[in-house]
Amino acid sequence: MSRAWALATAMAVVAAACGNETPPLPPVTASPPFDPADAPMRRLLASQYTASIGVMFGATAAQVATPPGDNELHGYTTIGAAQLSMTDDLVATYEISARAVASAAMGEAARIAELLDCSPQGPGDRACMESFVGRAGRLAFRRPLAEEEVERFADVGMAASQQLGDFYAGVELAIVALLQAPSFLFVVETGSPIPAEPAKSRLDGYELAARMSLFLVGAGPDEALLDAVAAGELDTPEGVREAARSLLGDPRARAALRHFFDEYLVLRDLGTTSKDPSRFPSWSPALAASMREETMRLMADIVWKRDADLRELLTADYTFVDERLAALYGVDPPESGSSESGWARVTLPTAQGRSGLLTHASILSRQAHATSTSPTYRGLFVLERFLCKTMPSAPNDVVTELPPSSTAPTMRERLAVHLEDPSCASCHAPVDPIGLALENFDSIGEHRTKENGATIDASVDHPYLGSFDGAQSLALALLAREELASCIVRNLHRHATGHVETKGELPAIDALVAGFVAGGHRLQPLLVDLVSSELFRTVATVDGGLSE
Amino acid sequence: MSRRKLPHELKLGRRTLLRGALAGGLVAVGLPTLEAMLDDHGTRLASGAELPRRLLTWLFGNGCRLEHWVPATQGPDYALTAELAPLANVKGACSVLTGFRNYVAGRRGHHDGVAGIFSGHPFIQLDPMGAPYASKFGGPSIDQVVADVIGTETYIKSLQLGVSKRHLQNQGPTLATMSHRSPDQPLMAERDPGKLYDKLFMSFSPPDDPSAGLRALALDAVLEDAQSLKKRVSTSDRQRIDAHLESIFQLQKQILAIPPNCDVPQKPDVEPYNPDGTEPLYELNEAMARLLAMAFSCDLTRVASYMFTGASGGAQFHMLPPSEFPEYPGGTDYSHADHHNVSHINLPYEQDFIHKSVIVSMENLAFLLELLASIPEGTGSLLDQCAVLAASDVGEGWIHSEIDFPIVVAGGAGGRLKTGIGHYRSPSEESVTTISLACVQAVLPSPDDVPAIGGTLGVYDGYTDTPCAAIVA
Repeated sequence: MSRAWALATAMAVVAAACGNETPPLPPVTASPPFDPADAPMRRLLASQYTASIGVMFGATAAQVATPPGDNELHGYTTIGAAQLSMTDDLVATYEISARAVASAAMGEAARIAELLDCSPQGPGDRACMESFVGRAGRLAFRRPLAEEEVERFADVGMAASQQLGDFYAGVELAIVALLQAPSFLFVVETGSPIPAEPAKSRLDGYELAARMSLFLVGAGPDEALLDAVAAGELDTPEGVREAARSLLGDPRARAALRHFFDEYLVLRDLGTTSKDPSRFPSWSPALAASMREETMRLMADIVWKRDADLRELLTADYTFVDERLAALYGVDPPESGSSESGWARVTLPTAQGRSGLLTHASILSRQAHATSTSPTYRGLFVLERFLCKTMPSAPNDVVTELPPSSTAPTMRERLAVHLEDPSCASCHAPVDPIGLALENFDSIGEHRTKENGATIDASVDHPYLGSFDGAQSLALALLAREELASCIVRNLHRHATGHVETKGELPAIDALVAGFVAGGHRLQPLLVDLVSSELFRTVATVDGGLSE
Repeated sequence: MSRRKLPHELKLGRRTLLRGALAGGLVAVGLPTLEAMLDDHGTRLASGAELPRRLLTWLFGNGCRLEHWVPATQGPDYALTAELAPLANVKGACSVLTGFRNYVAGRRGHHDGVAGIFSGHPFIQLDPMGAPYASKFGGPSIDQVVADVIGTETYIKSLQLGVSKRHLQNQGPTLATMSHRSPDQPLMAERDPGKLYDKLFMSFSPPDDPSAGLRALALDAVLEDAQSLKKRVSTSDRQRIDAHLESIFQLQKQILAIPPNCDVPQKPDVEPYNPDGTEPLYELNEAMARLLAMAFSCDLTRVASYMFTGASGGAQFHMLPPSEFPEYPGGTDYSHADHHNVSHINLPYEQDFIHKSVIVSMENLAFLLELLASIPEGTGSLLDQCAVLAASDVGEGWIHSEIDFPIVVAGGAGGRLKTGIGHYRSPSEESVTTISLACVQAVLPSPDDVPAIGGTLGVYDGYTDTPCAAIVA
């Protein structure tokens, strides 16, 4: 049933694509049946916390925010944020941050005046305090406040205002309280049960706007989006799509997508990856930063500049380099003055056989050891991140003895034991060959043809990806797999919602994948489809609807 | 390798014990125990209360080389092995315990190890469904079990500190930290001495600060918000909100507490990284050890965990010189390598490197223990009032072995733990958790406060109600 639905959608998309020069995708009005997942409260990521404060009080206040760090789970910090609880340290850190932000916000007189929307008539002006709490609180809680909530936080403000004889001291303390409230720090997505299917709940417009805004621009909704919700504009799929397109046009969407790719491609700690200085004297934190930037520039070129087929991430024969990377890749550095940023688009040397992200120095360096490559790490990365396959870890008490390079000069020979010993081969057989196809790139991604004097052979037979020789044919083998399209959708969904997809959600994910494939694997339309889907808007009813 | 300086004496200020009044209760704020407040024998406080006892759990990652760790003979007169040699100056205060087994092991090496010895609960494997592997603790770690009993009497319930920042953060909470209040509450370690200093010594409200009351008032509104949110969310989220509420109460107590009269030491000034990107492990350890000793000595807290390097962690032992192996020309400079990666390579050069790294870890443990031993308290030293459980997450690192974890218990816990037993080797593969339980009970008012630790999950069984008899006094 879901397959028929997916096919119908795909055909509709193709039809639309043929009929128009710039095809708008049809609104997703139907959805295959699926079982939504639980949506536990999700603590704001540090970046979302800071950006949300920017929305409320401006950049100066955001600058002094010092939220605690994030914890990653299953590859995403949003998943950690949805599963872990507060601790003494986190609460103490939020308090310090709230006081610093509130103090800085009071320096933003114009913004405070906007949020007040009244002229305080002395320290006893409760109406004006409530006006402030209502406006600032709506931004903080990503929804209008209930009457008792306005009272609660206005009480705090009035206590300080009257004790210190200063209305604005009251405003400051109200901010301190709002910024520590769980309703600000946690994204709450309970929705309301669907009458015909009470085990499923639909997010209301505010919850949807928050989920969407935090995902697409990395901050809570601004006033315009909240106003749109109040006007009912998010009640229809087309309204959601319109809001999503508008958010994607916001410059903050670029940073938010970088954040996703940073986690998806495991590049966040590239800067502290270390390399043996005697073998890789050019390695430095600055070089690592350039590598990471290269990957983000390729992504931005495909997604934002050209809205092109996302598979070009794996096949691109061009990339972006600064002076450092030009030296690493053996291409001409950007001409000085040719671009103010110091970066230039270059075509990669054909002889190196590079292929998109698979041969980006960032990923090759991150998935390698300090002294040598790691076909196992590289293979695991490709399987996990591009095909969504996981592997068990090495069992306890396993002997991980590899022969020395004096008797086995190439990594391929040293790793042969993984594939010859049956107890190793059961797991390593699908992993190592992928990495062996990338052996022409050393531990920092520099091209090489020999290792310890012996010629490198990058041709392999993979148990289910077929035979390939080097990065470019590996890319083609990956492109032939249908998991490739579903895996990026699944990863985006994990990051956006803070949970690993459940079996019950798969029909709805498959439908999104079908639309993504039919639409030419373009990420921007996928983002719009995702946030306007029933999948994105529906959660399991709290406690299965059994608590009441 | 021997750049270690001897700890110089900490200068402690006037010692007293203050109590801060607070709505709903009293918060004792920690201070160096005042000599004048000790009784004539110097063994108890004048009030009759016992001197505080402290628990410290200490982790170094990726195991040891058993052939260089396990002493040849048992008893107090055993000869220190190469990897234990750094503990020479505190040998009498240390029990080296070998031959114990981790009975929660069998699923995933390093996860099994930290969960086993530091909690006794089999870890919870999170179903990845195509996502990267992750796990979390199956129950509270022992430092948190203890903090629930004795942590409420101090300014800070428990401290989590660490040295190497190169610990594994992408396999879930189990490996990210060694302290867990519950499966969903990993307590992350502070690895920046400057920030730890601020937390310990700069976070008090001055006694006459008018803002303290208002800060507490703001938190009242936060508490109410949490209470009303509880009505809308799932059962498991209600538990998470309860955790939030508990931490807000704790913060309110701290805000309203009277600051301790502890001589504030110099703020440590250690760069987090060397210019070449490696970490100054000795310097960071020294700064962290001094802050911890001060926190214990001032009675700011009585419970701490100390993650020197992480389980499965990638610390760089950049201070180790390349070894000479003429018969093995494939040797490489591993000074910048990921420790865990090297640990799995069973070749002479690599395992020699691992062996030397264990010595570095023990030198850093020795610095901390010597420091604690140098601070007088009562008729003995601060170390005499501590139970220190130092261990790694696997036995022989390169095979993830589940038996023979390197374990050292130091300090007498105010007479509750035996010292001077030297090396004890279990004749019957006793559970590592019997050692953990002995350390837990040694610092509690009564062993009955926590009669057992750990849990079971199928065949994985870390439960014990039998503290290790070899070390219980």
